[in-house]
Amino acid sequence: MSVFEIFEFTFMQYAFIAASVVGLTAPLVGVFLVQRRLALLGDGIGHIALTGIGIALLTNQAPIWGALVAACFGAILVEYLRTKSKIAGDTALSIIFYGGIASGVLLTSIGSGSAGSMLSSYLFGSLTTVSSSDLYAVVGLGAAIVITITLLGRQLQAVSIDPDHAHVQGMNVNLISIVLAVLSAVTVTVGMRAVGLLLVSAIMIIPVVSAQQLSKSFFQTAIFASAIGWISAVTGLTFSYYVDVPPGSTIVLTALACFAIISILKTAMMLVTKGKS
Amino acid sequence: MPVTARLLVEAKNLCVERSGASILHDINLEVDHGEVVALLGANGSGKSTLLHALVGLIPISAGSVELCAGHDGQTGIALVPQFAPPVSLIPLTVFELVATGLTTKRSVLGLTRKQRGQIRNAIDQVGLNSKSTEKYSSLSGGQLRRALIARALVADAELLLLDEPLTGLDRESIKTVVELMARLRASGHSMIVVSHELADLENLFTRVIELNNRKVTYDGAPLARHKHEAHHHDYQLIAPDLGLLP
Repeated sequence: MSVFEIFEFTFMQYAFIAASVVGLTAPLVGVFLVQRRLALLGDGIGHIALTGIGIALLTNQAPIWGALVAACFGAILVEYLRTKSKIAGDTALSIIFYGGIASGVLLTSIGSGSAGSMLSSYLFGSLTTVSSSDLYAVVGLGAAIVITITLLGRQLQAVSIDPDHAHVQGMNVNLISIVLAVLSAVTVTVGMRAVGLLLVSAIMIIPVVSAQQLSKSFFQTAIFASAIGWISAVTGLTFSYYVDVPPGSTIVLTALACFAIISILKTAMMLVTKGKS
Repeated sequence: MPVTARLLVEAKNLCVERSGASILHDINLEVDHGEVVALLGANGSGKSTLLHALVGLIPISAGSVELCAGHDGQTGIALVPQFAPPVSLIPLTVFELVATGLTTKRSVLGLTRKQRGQIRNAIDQVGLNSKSTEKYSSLSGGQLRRALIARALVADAELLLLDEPLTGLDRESIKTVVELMARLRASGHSMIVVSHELADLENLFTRVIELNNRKVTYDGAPLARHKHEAHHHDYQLIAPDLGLLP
């Protein structure tokens, strides 16, 4: 059996491209979320995106666009509640998150006619569901993420590090915060097929936590995290094919394995250095 | 609205309220080019609130604030906070921290070669060259305060607002930061410095503003009583070294 056998299937080629896009781009957004202590934002947006999928299925639209609209709307609502609401931030957010997933399960079940397999494919990813039109959308949205971060990366970084200072500098902190929330929503949509809505947040955060152990700067962390995200995505996808399980689980477990290996190696190196001195 | 060419900041009848309680009442303040102003007052007198209200970090309930305009969409005013941004999981170098001082709403793409030079120059001005590529979380209190001053200097702001710049520093760090502030004054920078008392800074200021009970109670040249408080504070700082305190 050839190692490259899996690339003979069109659905696997699509799945690899989709997973590569999410593996490379999700940690680029995650680095700003971790800096702003909003690591769970992507998780919440994933819950809301499920409602968009349900509405899309009910109205015979492509689920990816339904998810994108709902995720962006949810991201802006979450950002508004986080900064303006008089209710405690986590309470307000949890109401939206639980409402999002409950509505999503209901609408998806009605829209698809069967709750089980359809829901599972959106929540945990599926190798066979990436269509060619999905692939164009994923690549286009991934490119939009990279272009936005290239253009506004400095403003996103300044606001993430010290929003008060950014305000004094004349930056529109609320606008940049909304841009970050929308970038998270787009990332959730990009990762929906390959990793799944419930696990896509993990690929935004875990590679960043791994990369910061190897990095000396913010910029280095972003680059290393993107590389670790890509390795986790393609390795996890390969395991998923051979073990025949949803790719979201194997991709996230591979990312966690990378984290464990880096942590152990770093601890070992520190002990060796300490022993020498 | 930018103020006149000489005036850097102008507050008229400024009031700040929080949860219905008055924090600052009817504050009038003008700061000109070249002035170095001490903002004195007891704890809770509203010194830091006034500083934050001037730069828009705290909303004002009445009155107005006008600031000088700066370069490239900036305000021309830079705040040096009492505390550095909280350390996060992501490593951030001194260079990267200072670089955020150049970021404005017009900043797109990465840093230009000229901007990199400006950042190195600002770090050089505060004497942190050797720490440029180190994580800012590894700096001592005095080095951190200098890094924050570099972040304010890098954008070529005309007025620096320093919130308790010497609080929490050891004797050696106080000396280094005071020397740096004296150099900034000599190079023509204007400053408003929030402090409990003049202490080590008494020769730096051209003017003292005292806040008491939500209002300005004194605005003028430093007085002998300010210096007396300074000497008393110096005694408290130095006395333990001389074995004069139990």
